[in-house]
Amino acid sequence: MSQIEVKNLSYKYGVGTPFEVTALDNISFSVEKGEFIGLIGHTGSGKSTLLQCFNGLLKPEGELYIDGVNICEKNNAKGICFKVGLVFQYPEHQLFEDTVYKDIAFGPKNMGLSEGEIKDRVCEALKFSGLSEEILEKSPFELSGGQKRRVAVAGVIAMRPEILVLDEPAAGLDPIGRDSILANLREYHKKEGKTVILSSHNMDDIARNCEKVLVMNSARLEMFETISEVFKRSERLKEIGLDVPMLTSVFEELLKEGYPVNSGIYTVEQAVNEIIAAKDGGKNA
Amino acid sequence: MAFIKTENLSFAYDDDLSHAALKNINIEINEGEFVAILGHNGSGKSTLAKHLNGILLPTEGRVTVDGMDTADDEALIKIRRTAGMVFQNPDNQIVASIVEEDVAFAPENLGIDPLEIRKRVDEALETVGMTKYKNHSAHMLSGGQKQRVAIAGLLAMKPKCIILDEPTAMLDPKGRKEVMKTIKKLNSEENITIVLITHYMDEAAKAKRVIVMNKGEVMLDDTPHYVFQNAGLLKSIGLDVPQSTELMFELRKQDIKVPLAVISDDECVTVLKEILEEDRVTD
Repeated sequence: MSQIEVKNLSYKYGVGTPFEVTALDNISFSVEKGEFIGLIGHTGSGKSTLLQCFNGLLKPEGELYIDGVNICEKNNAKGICFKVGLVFQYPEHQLFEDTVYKDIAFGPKNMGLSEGEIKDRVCEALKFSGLSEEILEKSPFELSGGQKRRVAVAGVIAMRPEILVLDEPAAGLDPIGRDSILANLREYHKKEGKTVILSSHNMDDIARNCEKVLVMNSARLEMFETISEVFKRSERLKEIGLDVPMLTSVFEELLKEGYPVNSGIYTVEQAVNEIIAAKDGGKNA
Repeated sequence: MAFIKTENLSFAYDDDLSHAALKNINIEINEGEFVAILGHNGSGKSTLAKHLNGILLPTEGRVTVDGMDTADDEALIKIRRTAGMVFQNPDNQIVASIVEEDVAFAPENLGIDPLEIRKRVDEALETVGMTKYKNHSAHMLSGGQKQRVAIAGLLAMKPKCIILDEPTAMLDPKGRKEVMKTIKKLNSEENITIVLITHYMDEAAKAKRVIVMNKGEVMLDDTPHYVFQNAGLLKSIGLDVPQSTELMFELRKQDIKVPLAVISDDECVTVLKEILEEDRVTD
């Protein structure tokens, strides 16, 4: 049994009004425990809607099983928000407590944990996010943007979710901030063996971190494949308003002009190997 | 004479220069230039940008825009009209509910003749490619469209210079492309001076000149080709280089002779073709 099974999932906003719009149209796929999944799609393609279904925030039509429980059924969604941790877009806008400690402790507190256990969880989450204990008594509102983002992520991590879902966690951060959040996620995924689902507009981030990618286009699931399979279809990705990494386009062009290289290249390392192989091949010919 | 000039500009948010956000900056930007300012968070790039139209005033030193000193209270309104600013968050910059009313907001406040306003609004929307949305509700637009409306709002004031502070940071790839295309067009067709603050390397690569900020100081100031040759230095201060530059860096390590300054897709294809062809010829 897969950890997440999505069957014929549909969702509409504004049903019965003139503004009715289909955000998810008959989506089906499944995710195994411990996978690192990327989610890409143009603005308005349904990414955020899909992510919000995972922890029971939205009530879609169809079936969505988490560990065999269909959370679309009445009363089944209870407690799912502890199992599936959702980090929204710009999560720093949702900090609300007067100290960093209280903000991170909010989730564990609502799980009904003891004071001691809450404290452990807060420290653990803090360490995970690369923050120092000095900031625990500070107000979250006096932190820098990057620090706020980390505190917000720590608040979700403190619940030790089995499945971590993040909606553009690196948006608006500089390369250092971005790399450190993504490195933390990789670690959570690797060490704890937890499932991570990550949406992003940055194809390089997706290429560097994820194993498989969900590609959304106008409320439908367009592809669900490994990174290199997805990037092999760069023409299609561009058609549906997405970017591909620079080197993917470069190698696509070389291939088109008849050079002996492969498509679906997306890292510098792969590109170096391709060029060396193509040069050697040329010599032997 | 330089259009924008900073002379020994230093700035600290609390007036204590022992932890200055900007340290002794001397730059000159000429009319019609397209300059990108690169740097990681906290490098001082936004602080510098905010000095260029008098949102912030130097703690020490002087900034002049088109010959006017930004510290001169009486010149301030004229400076803001000369050099307009676009910010990161598209939602914070829309003031009216209808697109064309939003664009008309500034000229209306300048007391310009209504017929002239009509003309300016139409022209501005045409330039940013938003004419067909002029009667749309502004808050229903996409992020990229909102940023273009914000740019149109500036254009209606007929500025000589537009300063953009990470205008694409919150946009998707399509929105980013729309905005970048608009910026390039303003520079090449309308001859508007562009100062683009960004941490996207591909955007900086489109400028004619790149200024790299680090710890409140100017670290590099040159053409994109030259700046991106310093891959090691850029990485050491937490910046990315374009994938193509990184590839050249790695190929050199493999004793493959390639130029370092390769910053666009096309250049990269050309260089790789050359090294692949080279072998065919030798055989």
